[in-house]
Amino acid sequence: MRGHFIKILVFALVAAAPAVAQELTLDEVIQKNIDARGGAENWAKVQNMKITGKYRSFSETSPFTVWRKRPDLYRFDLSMLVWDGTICYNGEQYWWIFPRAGEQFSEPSITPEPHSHFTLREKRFEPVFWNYKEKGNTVELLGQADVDGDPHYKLRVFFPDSTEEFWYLNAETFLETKQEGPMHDFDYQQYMPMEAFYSDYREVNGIVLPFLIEQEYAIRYRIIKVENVEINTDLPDDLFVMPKSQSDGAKSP
Amino acid sequence: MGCKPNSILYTFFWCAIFLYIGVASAGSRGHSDKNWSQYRGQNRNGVSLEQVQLQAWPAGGPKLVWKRSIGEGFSGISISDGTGYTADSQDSTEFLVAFELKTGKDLWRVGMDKKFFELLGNGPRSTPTIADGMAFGLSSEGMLVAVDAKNGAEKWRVSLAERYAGKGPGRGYSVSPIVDGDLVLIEAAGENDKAIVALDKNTGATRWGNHKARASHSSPVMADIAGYRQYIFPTGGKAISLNGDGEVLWSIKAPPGMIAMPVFIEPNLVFLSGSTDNGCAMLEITESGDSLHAAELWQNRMMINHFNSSTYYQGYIYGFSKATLTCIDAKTGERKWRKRGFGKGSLIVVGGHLVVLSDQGELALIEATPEAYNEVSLFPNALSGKSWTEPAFSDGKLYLRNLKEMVCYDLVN
Repeated sequence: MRGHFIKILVFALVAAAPAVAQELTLDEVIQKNIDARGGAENWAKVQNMKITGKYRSFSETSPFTVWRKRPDLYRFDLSMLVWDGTICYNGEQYWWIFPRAGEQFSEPSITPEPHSHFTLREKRFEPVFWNYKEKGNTVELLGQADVDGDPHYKLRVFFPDSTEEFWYLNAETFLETKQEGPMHDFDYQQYMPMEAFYSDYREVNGIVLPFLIEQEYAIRYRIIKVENVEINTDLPDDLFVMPKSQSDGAKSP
Repeated sequence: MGCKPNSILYTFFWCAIFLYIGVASAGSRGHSDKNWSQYRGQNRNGVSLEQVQLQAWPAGGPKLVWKRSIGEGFSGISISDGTGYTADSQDSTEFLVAFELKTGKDLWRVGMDKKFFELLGNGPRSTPTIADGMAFGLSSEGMLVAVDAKNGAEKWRVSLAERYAGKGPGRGYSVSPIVDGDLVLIEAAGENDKAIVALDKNTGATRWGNHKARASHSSPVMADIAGYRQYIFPTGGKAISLNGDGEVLWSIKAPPGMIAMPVFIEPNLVFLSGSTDNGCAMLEITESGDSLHAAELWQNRMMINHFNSSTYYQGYIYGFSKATLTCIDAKTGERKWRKRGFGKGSLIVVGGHLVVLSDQGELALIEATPEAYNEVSLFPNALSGKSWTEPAFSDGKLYLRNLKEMVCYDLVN
């Protein structure tokens, strides 16, 4: 009789486990993600960051540097085959320069739509679902999903431009593991479904960041391996300003 | 009940015959089993015929036999009768190269054509085919060269561009020739129904041409289906099967963006994978009256090969879906497992294991099982830098190369 009772109890607990996990609200899931990423207080102290590491694409590895500054200034310098240059958002405009990629890119120029879509996403200072209402986005909790055999919370984010992204938060750590969303490829000249995987989270000055990001869409496969993160470093705004010409200072400081 | 003498003799006679056939075929198989004489091995399927027991490697990786520098090129390694073959480039020339298996040293090299320069990597792409004492190489600009496999003495050379007005694909002629009987079959990407051609193996003379299509990067595969010897070319958005006379046996729409080679699964299945998000398809080839018919059994996005091909082994297909090592059920297309971390890698099957080379030169030994990803060994530095060329295996040794170096590891001892 006692054994029977224990079996029922175990069954009830097992059956209830996913339901318990499922009972978290969207706001609770997001709050747990904020906590897992170091907490809102620590993030509020971060005004800028300089991230350096290795960028791999076409199976070639080369150095990169990313600068981010609140609210959404962004600059990405890389050296990759002929794609040796800068992608940037100066707070008002998206611009780029690739001096070795042909005449079209040899001077700094405004990044045309839809190529700027890449920078639009990458310039986010914080995860997209934090304070999503203030950002004009809509977020839904779609329940649980499996990523690489582990349970995750699946979030859908709607943007004002009618695009959407799906984010998968590990049900145990509440860290982002996977992202699905559109990527506009330069060569294909079209939007394509993209998957990104985030891992190797590490704490830097109280905030937690992914040190390994893998992006995959169509035949493209990119790996970003972060090696160093500097928080609240000296980062002048003119770093993000589009120079008038290549010789006018579009190079890294 | 006694035995009649002639009955005993009769039994002895047939036992002797069977014994002789067994020994002879084992000997023959034993010889050819050690060959890896063309792109993706003896049967062009990425599966070694050798019966070997592979075990976990020590911490320092498998035993290094030799390492040497090599000129740029993505060409694979072929092995036949104790000699290795590949193609590389030096200065401004692409070469067909023979090397000593024990040391890796050049035995001979024959200039094929001017060197091909391309953003993602320079040099030849096609893997030499070795057959009947001859070696056949194809340059990136479409020079098909036939030489004596022993000494490199040239037999003939044909420019696909000149003879057939062939226009190679953007990243250069990359297909690897099939040699069967007295034919050399190749995608010439030529005009006037010469997209696919067959040349006389001994003279280089054109035997036939067929099909209209722009050039592809996908190598053909040979198959025997329902008694029909056929050569399956994925080109022009189709998979097209030709017989030895150049007649079309069947054709069917292929998944877009095919770069990987078709996988023939006995007795009558052909697996195709494109490089786009349309994914892959399994074809069933059936005989109806006097003709063959291809029909799609299933199609899905579970396997999206880029430039390296999948391998079929005991009911399952293993390959790189984009940049994720993936196992799918050949019957249903259902995904069994997947594992990230090898980039745009390549793989072959040896002794019931996957031998996986990552695009950064990491080497892994993984159980070839649909149950789960079971890694036996991982060696991070088998090659240095971008490594897109598939491994080759012969006589217990693994041969790897990339754009700058070639190595040999002993996987058995």
